[in-house]
Amino acid sequence: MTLKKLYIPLVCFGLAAILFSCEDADDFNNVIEQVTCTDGIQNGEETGIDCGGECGPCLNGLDFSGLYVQEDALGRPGINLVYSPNAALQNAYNHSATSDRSSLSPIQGMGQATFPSVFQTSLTEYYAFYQDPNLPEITFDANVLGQDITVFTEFLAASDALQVAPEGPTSFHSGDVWFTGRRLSDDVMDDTLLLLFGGPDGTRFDGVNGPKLISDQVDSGDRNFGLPFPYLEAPLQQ
Amino acid sequence: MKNKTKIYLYSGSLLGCLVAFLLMSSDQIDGNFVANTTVDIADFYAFEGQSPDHTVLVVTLQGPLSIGSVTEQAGFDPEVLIEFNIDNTGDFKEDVVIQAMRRDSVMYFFGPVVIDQEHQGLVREVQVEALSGQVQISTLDSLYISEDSALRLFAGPRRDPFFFDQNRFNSMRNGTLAPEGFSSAAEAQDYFAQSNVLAVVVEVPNDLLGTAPAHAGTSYGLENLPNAYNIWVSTKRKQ
Repeated sequence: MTLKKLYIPLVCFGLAAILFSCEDADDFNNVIEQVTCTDGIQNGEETGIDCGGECGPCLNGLDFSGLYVQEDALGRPGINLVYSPNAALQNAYNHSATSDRSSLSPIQGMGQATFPSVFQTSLTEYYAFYQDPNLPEITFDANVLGQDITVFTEFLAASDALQVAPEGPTSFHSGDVWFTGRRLSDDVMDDTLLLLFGGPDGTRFDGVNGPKLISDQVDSGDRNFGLPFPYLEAPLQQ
Repeated sequence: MKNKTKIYLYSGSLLGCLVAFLLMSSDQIDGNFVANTTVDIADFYAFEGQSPDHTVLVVTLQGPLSIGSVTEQAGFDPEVLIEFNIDNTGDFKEDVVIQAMRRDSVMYFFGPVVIDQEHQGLVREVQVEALSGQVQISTLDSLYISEDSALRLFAGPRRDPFFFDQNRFNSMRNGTLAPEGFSSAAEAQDYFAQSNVLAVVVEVPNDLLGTAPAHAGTSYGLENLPNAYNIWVSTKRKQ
């Protein structure tokens, strides 16, 4: 066999090899992956039939279908408990979207009131209950954050979420810093009461100046908040 | 006849008040209509994890549960979708959610997954395409956690971390039962000291939650606060 005779099949073979390899690479990216995720058998990297690996997650035949409607919601601690004066309003609050709370009107059964105005009424009533009738009238004025009653109740109702800082320490209240998260150990009800009853310098209704309303005098007791994930203590047993 | 009707009405409303009061007293945070139901959220915590670039989200449910049979019989409702809602733009609409839902003895987690504008709000579907992990539900004696995915996951009974003199607060609400306010430290009682709750805990890398917006407090007179997500929890029942 002459060298010339060998050239033709060699060149053809080489060309074919290049073409096939290109086609394979193309197929791998565009076609094969989709085919294996819908072929009704467990293959490739799949951990179940047509799921797991490069395909979608495996639901193991479980049914999660349907529509789910909000019945309860919670952002900051104790907002509904402290500021919604009755069951109907607490329920309305739980059924409302967070972004609607300052504009939602009418609240069912509440005429044209919005949640900030409901909260203002609650706050004013607390002050009326604890007003010493022999002393000049006390009004909210401002809290330790410098917020007057309008700004404060709008803040409570319209931005009712935990503000959570991804950078730096997280706490409900630590020193001069408020609202960067909520740790298990934070005494959030004392903080809530301080904002409600403490007045501009935090001493109003402190038990010396009138009744003691700015702290419930309860701390975390014998709880252990220094645990690794899941951070909460094991359940108590008899 | 008229008098009899009146008596019924009076006893009916008295009974209503009593029931309302009992429900109120037994619930940690929420309104009467959800108290003692499987959608009842007791509390919500969010803090920096052991890895500082992670956030821990904790929701407690159905609390407070008495020690013993009440805790033993409590369970997550497979008809109730538990959601952490994360607003990363500052409009208090959920841009990202993490969902948890029980099937048999396993809690399945979906997300963090982006919720587009038309699907934000009070009605939701389970984001099945975003299944991100699962964990065996812990029991009184056995702790199960999952670290198989980017998330660390837990679901099960725990001691209630919340502390408050709730009974005293309830009696203070109208100012007449406790005109002097809260008790002294010696007399104050932590209503939750001997209670459990059902808890769901997720530890999530912050970069899965998007970029935090300006702190919401800056619109309400607060200054020098770091950027912060707005996060709340919700429970949604299957219709």
